[in-house]
Amino acid sequence: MEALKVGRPSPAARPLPWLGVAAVGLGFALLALFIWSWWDRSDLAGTGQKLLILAGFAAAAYGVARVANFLAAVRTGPLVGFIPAGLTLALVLLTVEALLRAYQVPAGLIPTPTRVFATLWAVRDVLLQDAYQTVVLEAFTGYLVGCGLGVATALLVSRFVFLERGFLPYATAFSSIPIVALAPVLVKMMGLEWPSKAAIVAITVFFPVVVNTFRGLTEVSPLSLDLMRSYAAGEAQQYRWLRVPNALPFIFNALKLGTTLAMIGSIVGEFFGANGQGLGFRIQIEAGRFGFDIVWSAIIVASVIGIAWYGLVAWLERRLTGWHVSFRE
Amino acid sequence: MRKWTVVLAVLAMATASLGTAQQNLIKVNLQLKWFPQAQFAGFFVAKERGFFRAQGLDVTLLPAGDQSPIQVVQSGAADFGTTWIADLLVARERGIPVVHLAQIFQRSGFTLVALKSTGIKDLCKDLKGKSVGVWPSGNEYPAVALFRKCGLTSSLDPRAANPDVKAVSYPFDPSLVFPDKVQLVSAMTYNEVNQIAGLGYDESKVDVFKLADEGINLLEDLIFTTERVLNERNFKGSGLTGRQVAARLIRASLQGWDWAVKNQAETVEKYVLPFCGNTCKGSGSRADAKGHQTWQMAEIAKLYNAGATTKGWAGFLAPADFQASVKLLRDQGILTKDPPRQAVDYGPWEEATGKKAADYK
Repeated sequence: MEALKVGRPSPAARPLPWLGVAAVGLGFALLALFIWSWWDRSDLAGTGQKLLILAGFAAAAYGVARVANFLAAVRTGPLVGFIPAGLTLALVLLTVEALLRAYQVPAGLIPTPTRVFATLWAVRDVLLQDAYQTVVLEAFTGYLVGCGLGVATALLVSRFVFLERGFLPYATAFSSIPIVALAPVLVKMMGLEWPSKAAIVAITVFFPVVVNTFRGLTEVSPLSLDLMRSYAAGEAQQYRWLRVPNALPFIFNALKLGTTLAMIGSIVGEFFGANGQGLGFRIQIEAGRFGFDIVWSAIIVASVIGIAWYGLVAWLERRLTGWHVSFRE
Repeated sequence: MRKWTVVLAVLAMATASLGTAQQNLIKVNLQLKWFPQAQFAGFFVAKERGFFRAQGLDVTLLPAGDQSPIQVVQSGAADFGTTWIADLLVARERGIPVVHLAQIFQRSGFTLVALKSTGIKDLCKDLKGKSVGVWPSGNEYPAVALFRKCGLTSSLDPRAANPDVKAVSYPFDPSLVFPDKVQLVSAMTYNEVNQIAGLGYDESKVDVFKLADEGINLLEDLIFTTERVLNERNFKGSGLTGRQVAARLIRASLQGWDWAVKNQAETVEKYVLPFCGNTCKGSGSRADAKGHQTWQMAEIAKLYNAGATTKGWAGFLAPADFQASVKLLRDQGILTKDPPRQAVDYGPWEEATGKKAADYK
């Protein structure tokens, strides 16, 4: 640890990359200048303006690269560490906005980022209701049920050999087929309300959880098992002190994978019928009527929630399995 | 040696003549609005009776699921398409350069169906708080126009947080939602009305509200394309312009429609049923494909034989009808401005029929 620190120069020792900062500023200014000048125009931009966009993009990209290199070399906190990613996002959004305006791409095909953000703000109430239906009722309920049943099943399978031989092969097979293909069937069976989507989500997350948890419970070091036996530890104690802790990293892998699967399952499930609410419903309806500003707004909402959810599970993982080798520095 | 040369020469000539025979026909993709059924009878007749071929066209009729035909035509996967006017004009307003070419149906066949036991007597008065089944992909506009006309908000409106009407989307089969999940369900006069009857809810048990009677007469099946296709100088290397191809397509299609409507039984038997498999069936007690399509053909004929068609102007978009549809869409805020002049092009229809739009009375 100490050796590493010595090896890195402190921020004060390195001068700020002024050239890079200036290039970022210049590039962003050029792009913003074009967007501002083309705000109300509805004609195609000329070659000069397109070159201006290109120059702005090139300058800003060069600058971001310089700044990122500088920040990578100095040891900094997470907020400062986010600066290169943030600058990249801003650069991409500005360039996309400028190009869409320069080529006058119709909003019915690709809306400009500013239009998407304006729409996102305007329809936020409805999108939040949609998110409640899709995320809380469908994805989260299905996730809890699927993961809960998955862990319970894995406990049983690891305990009883006949289950391991008779059931586990199917669970392994099922965990690698796209369960979301079942969506139309389940919607038809269970109706258009949220439970049908929750069922899709539960089935989708169930199998990976079973398989991963089982591996965690059984791939135990024989030495540790011998130790437990020499302490005369009972079945339950073995699980409590050895198998379950050993399985936690595996379980969390499945849980993190499950957050993504749950969002996909609930949104895609709504494509096959919904009761007038939900992010998937909104995306489908609006894509059909060329309201892509709303489609993108719904995608943003879904992405933000999906990332937050994943982050929450990852945070829990660090709290509960901080001892694991992958977190030790 | 010589023998082989002769054989080879003959073979070469044969393949060349085959090649040119196929080259002479211009390949055209026409995107239908739905799966094959009597709704598109005229196009099937035009294809199978050789009307398209007589115009030098080799037309492929593409079926659609619940996706917008406009997206297919816009992407270039099809050259022409059939859709409804609300769908077309909204796409135009959102910047998709689609152009109306010919109006096949002169009247709306969109209805809302409710069980008599729900007590819904007057759509506007009794809609509030109800669930209504709608189809996505641009097929929800007639219902939206009705809600707005009645002063009601719906869950189809992304700006209404507490909608008066809950719109339930479902994949086209009314039995999925009716009558358990929704009080009212979208139904076309020519398809779902009969399916619902087949499920055991016939005229004695349900009320069928025709939206045309409620003042929502939004024109339906029409032929459209994009400005890109229309302004093509050399359509797929055929030597014809996009407009000329459009005119030929319209001429053959109208011929097909005229024949289909005059020979309904033969059309269903020979030109619809052989092409439509599973999607042609009705539901429940009226599941038989032949029965359902015969009935559909008769209902389709009513939509075709109306308005301009009755004056001998089949396929013509009467300016007054167009303005009525535009006004309705604008009044209900579905369109925010009048569509540009280029949204409708009478040129190909005029070339196809030899009539002048300005002469219509």
